[in-house]
Amino acid sequence: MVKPTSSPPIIGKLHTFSTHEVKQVRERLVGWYDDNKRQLPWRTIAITEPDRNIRAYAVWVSEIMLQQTQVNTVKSYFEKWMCKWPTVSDLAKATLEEVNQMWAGLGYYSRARRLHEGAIKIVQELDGEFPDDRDSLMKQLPGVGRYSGSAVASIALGHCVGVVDGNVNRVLARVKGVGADISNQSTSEHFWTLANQLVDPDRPGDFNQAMMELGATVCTPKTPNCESCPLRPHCVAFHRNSAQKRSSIATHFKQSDKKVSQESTSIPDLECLPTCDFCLRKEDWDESLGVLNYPRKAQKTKSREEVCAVVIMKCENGKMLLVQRPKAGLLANLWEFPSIPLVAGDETSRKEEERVVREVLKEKYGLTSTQTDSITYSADVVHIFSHIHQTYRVYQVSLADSQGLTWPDRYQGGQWMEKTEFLASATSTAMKKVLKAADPSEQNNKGKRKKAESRDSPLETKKQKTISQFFSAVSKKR
Amino acid sequence: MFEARLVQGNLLKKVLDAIKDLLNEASWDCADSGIQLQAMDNSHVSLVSVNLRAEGFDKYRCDRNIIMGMDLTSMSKILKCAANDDIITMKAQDNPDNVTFMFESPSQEKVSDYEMKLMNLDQEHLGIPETDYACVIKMPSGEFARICRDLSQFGESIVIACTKEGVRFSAAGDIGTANIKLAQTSSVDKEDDAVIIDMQEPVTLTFACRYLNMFTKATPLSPQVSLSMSPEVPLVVEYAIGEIGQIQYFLAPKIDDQDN
Repeated sequence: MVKPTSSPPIIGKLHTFSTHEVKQVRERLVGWYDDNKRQLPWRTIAITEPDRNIRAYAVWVSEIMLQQTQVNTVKSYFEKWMCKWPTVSDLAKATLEEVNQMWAGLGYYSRARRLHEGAIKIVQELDGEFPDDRDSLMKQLPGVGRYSGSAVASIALGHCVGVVDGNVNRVLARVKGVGADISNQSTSEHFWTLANQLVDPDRPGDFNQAMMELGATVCTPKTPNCESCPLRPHCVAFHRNSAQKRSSIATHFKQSDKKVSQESTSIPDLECLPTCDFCLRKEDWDESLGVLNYPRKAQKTKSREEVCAVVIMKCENGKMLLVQRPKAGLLANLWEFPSIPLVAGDETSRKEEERVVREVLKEKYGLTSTQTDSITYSADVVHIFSHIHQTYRVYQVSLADSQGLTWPDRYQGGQWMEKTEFLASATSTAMKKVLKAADPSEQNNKGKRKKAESRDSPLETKKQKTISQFFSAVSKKR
Repeated sequence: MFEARLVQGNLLKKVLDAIKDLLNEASWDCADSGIQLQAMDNSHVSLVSVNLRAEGFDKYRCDRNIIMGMDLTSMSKILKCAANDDIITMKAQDNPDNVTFMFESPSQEKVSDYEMKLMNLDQEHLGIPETDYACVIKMPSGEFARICRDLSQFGESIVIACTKEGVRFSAAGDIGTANIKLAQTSSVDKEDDAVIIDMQEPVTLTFACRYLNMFTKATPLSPQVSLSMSPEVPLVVEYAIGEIGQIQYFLAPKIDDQDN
C-alpha cells in the first residue's frame, strides 16, 4: 500500500479520536499512571527539583540515554552521570574523553558527544539557560530532535506537546487500529497528530510518560497484558481480536458458564472507509497473532556482515597497544586494539588471512618480519551492532619492546596501556569481549570456578572444543 | 525438477527425529547422486552429516542441483502427519521456493500433500578430512543409548576409553562415579547384538553427555552404532539409515588446555 508522497493518504475516522474519546483516554491513562508508574531517578528530579534548568538537564540526559537503550541499563548510568555532573555547567567543563569514558558500554557514542556539545553551547551561548520551548530546544541543541525536544519540553518544562516514540507508536497503532507500515512518513505524521491531540494540557509531562510507560510495561511488543490495560475499551486491536475469537469454534458449542462477553455492548465500530489507507487489510490479518497484528512491521533490512582482524600487541612489560578511532563514524573516539578490516563472506583460508594480517602489520604498524611471524590466532568474537554483524578474529603477538612502532593515519593516536588502564578507559564492549577472549587468565579463572563448583570431578576441568577447530570451511562446489 | 520417492517413508520420519533436537534449520543439498545435509548445532560443538543415496530411493530424479533450506521443526511437524507405513515423496522445482511432501497410504486410498516454504540459509560447509581412526567400536545402538542415559546422571561428561580389553565408559560427579565396561563379544549368535572393537592404538577421550544423548535419538534407525575415535579429534557416531544411507554425528572432544 505504498502511495506516492504527492497524494495524501486517506484516513478513515476509525483511526482518529473524537473529543469525547480524548477526554476518556486522558482520564484513564493518567489515573492508571498514578497507580502504576515506576520510580525512576529522572522522574523524581522532574517532579521535585525547583530549578527549571536542572529539571531540563536531567530529563534531557535521561531521554538521550534512553534512546535505543533499556531503562534498567540507563538507571545506573544516569545516577553516576548526575553524581559526576549535577548541572549543565559541570558537564560543559568536562572533557570529551571523560564523557566518553562515562558513556562506555551504552553504545551509540555520538549521543554522548552531542550531549557534551549541547552543554557547552548552553553555557557559552545561552548563559546557562535551557531554551524555553520545543522548537528552540530542537534548534539549539545538537542531537535533540522532535522526540527528545517534545519530551524535555513536556516533562521538564510543562509544555503541552505530545510525544511519539516506539512505545507510543505501538500503543496508538493498536488502540486506533493503524495497519499502515509504521516506518512510512505519513503514518508517523498521523501518530504525532494523535499524540498532540491527546496530550493532557493539565499534566502534559505525566500524560506523555504514561503513554510511554503503558507501551513499555503493558502494551509490550510480544506479550501485551490486555487484561490490565486501561485503554482496552478504546482498543481497536483488542476488539478485532475478540471479535475473531467469538466467531471461533467455541461459539458452536454451549459454554458451560454463561459468561457472554459483556463488553460486546461497548465495542467500538470496527468498520472504516473501504478506501482507507490506514486499515489493516483482511488478508494481512493473521489470526494467530491477535493484537500483535498491530503495528505492522516494516521490512527489516538485513544487517551487514563485517569481519576484521584484531591484533593484541603485548609488550614484555604487559602493556598493550591501543589506538583511538577517528572522530566520526561508528564508535568514534573510542580506544581499540589495532584492527584490520577483512573482506566479509570471503572464503579465504586462515593461512591467507594471516598473510594479509602480517602484511598490514609490517606496512602500517612497522613490525619486523620476525615479530609478525609470531602472531597467533586465539578466538573469534562476534559482536552485534544494530546494523552490523561484526566478527572479530582475535590475534595476539608478543613484542620485546615498543620501539619503532607506528599506526595508520586514520587513528587519532596510540597508547600503551596496562589491562587495568584499558578497562578504565573509553573502550567499547566489543573490545572488552575481545580481550576477554584472548586473555588466558580469564579462561583460567573460569576453569578454577568450575573446579570449585564440582570439586571431586576432575573431568569437568576439561575444555569443550568446537567442531570448527578440527574441520575447516570449504567453498561449496556449485 | 526434483523428485524422490521412498516406499519406506518412516525412515525419513526417523531421520528427522534424529536431527531436529540438535538443529533448528539446515540445508538439504540435492544432486544427481542423492541428498546430503551437513550442519553444526548452534554451539558449534557438534556436526551432523546425513547422506541419502539416490539408489536407495524407489524413484529418484534431480535435473539440477538444488539446495533446500528448511526449518527442521516445521519439517518434522509435517512428517508427523505421515503414517509409519506411508510412502513419502519429496518434490520441488528447479529453483524452488517451496517443497512438497506427498504421503500415500500403502493401499493408495489416502493421498495427502503438504507444501512448505523454504528458507535461504547461509551455512558454512565444513570439509571433513579422511581419517583412519585408531579405534572403531561397533555395538548395539540401544546399548549405547542406555549407557549415555545412565552415565549422564553422574556428570556432564563421559570418558570413553578404548583398549584391547574392551571399551570403558565412565562418568564422575557429585553423587559418585560410574564405570561401564564392554568386552568384545566372543560368540556372535545375533549380529545385531555384537560388540566388535577394531583397535590400532588405545584412545581415551572426554565428551559432553548432552550431545551424546541427542545423537542417540537416531537409535530407531539402526540396530547397530559405530563409534570412531582417534586422539584429539572429534568422535564419529554413525548410524545406518536402512539400506539407503547413513547419519554421522561428529562431536568435538573436551580437552585439557595446556597451551592456553
